[in-house]
Amino acid sequence: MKKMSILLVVLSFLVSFCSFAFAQEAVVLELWNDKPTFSDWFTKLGEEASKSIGVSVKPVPFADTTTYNAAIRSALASKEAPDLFTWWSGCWLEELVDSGLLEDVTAIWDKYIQSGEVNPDLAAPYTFNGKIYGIPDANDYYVVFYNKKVFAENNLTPPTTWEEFISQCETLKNKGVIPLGCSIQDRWPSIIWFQQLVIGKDPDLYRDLTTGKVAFTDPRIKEIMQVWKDLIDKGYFNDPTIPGVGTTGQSQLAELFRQGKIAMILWGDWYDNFIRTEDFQPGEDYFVFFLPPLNPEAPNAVIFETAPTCIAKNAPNKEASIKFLDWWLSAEGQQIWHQLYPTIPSNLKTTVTNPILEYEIKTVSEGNYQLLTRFWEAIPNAILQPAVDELDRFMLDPSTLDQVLSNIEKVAQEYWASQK
Amino acid sequence: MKKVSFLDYVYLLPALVFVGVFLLYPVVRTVYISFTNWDGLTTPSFVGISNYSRLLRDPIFIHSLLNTGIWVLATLLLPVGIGLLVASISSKKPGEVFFKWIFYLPYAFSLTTTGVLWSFLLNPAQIGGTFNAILEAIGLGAYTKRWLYEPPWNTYAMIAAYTWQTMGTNMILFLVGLQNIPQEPIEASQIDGATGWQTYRYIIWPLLQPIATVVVLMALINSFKVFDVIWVMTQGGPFRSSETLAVTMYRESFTMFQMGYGAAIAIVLTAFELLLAWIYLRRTFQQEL
Repeated sequence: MKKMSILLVVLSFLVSFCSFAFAQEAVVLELWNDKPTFSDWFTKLGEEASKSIGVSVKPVPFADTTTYNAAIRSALASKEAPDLFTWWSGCWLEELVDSGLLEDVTAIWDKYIQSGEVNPDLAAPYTFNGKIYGIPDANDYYVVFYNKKVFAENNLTPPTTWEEFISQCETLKNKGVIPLGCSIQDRWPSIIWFQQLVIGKDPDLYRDLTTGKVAFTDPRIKEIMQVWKDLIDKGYFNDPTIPGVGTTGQSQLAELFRQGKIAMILWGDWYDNFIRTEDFQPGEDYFVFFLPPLNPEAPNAVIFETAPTCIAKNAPNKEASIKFLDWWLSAEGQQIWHQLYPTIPSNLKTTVTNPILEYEIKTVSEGNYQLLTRFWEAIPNAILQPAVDELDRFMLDPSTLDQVLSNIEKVAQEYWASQK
Repeated sequence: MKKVSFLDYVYLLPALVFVGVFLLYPVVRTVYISFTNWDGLTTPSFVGISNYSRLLRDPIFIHSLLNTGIWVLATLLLPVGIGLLVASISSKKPGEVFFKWIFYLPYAFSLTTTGVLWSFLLNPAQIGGTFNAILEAIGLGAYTKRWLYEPPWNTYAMIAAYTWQTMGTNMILFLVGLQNIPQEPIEASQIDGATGWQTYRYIIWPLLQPIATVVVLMALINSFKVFDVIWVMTQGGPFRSSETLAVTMYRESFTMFQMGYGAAIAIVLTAFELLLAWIYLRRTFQQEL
């Protein structure tokens, strides 16, 4: 009997120990993404989340975006779906929502909107039929990076009007500095100047263009393209074949900017990651400004890129995934994320430590800027992809302007007709 | 003759399952998808032969088909031709080992790595692109180009990169073939007063045929499949100018999400490949018979 009692005590001790051990072990969620450079940040975020809520994440990065797209599309409907995955907002997200592949996370947003920690407008690119799918892992504005040393050497200050901007480009060109940096490596960056010039003409024109209410061959769009052509013809841009975003390990555009050979680069503020080095710091060596609108009468507007992390409907650890996104959107989660990856925080209680982002948030708020979804997310993929190719063609040979607009319009007409 | 027992079939089973799951099922599934409008997310709907009829009026497909033709011809001429030339010149001669090393070394790189390396070389001179810098240095600055962004030069530049990487293997295979040719017929032809070219044309080349058949067939199949080097160097661009059928298939399936159309291109690509391989093998074996 005594032996039996001892055995029972030992067994209950073992059971308690095992339960304790398992309780302490965090649930590890798979976070699929097409951002290999984020791996360390996701891992550290997971470590912090594990301490707070007992849920961690393991990044599963894909180096090529197209491959990632294909992998996600085939995995989501299967039993092999990831717990969490990064995606794009707007049309890209809508497609997955329509196919019923995403978990509704409205409850998470409601909690933080009600407590006044999150701006409800931020949910718009993730909201479909009144439900919200995903929380932002990155929020970025498209601004002009400028090299402070080059500006100082030429007695320039950030321009406040389009005319001033053009005059500064001329000054820089005459001094042997390339005024504007651009690239068509990886195809997509050709949308950057196009979207910026259209919103600078009229934000409503941009909205109408991306929703099929205005044709790409509209005289106003042609006029905008003509302005862009003039900028290229005057020699304000670098050769667009110079690699810009470094997916093949090359990012010479940023290098030329650091060397002062290129004075300004219009890009999403995440390009800061390519520009910043230990010896080249924001605030001291470079900063940003909002490009003055082409039309002085146009209201303040900025291109906004926001990218969600979503939960798959078939996620193996759905509850833990919801718990993780809830924590990530909290002030604690956002502060940790902001320190790891300086993007515009989604939670208003976050202390912004990056001078560029601090300036942007202040300017957008004080200037009452309209936020317009980036062209990539704003227009359906069936039009977007051919449009990107055609804009590449234009940047390589601006004399193709008419052909480019008519080619895009042909695809757009086919698409919108198929939707009726 | 031993009677085939049930157990023999059991031994075959793993191979049959493997081929069935990883080869036959995907082929059957691709044929099925090619008759649908599947977007990769929703349930596919049957659309008859519309994906195939669209091919005939799609300028991108037709351009891609022409590019594939250029790749096939160039691959047969360059990696195979140069491989044969180097092997023939260096076989059983001083420096053979040196040639083997030099020309075989690039094969140690993957085609992806080759693509990245050559992209660096073909960059604008402004950022250290070696080719353009050399042209400028020797006074041929007028011939500098945006090598990867000007059709058809982008296709030619990628063929050069592909040739650099693949030529070494062909050379090694030809060297093996040359070294296995018996000396007697060669010596006999020389005694009979044959010139070097005559010996090569009428003795060595016919004896090299078995190896040449394999090399050409492999080159033919690989040229249709070429994808990685193009994807890394241009992604088929700019404005889809350097796509081959394999790249077009990928773009339509995984960028445009027109899986049905992409599958139709895959079927056409496979059909072309099988047809050419069959014609080539039939002709080769007929000659041998």
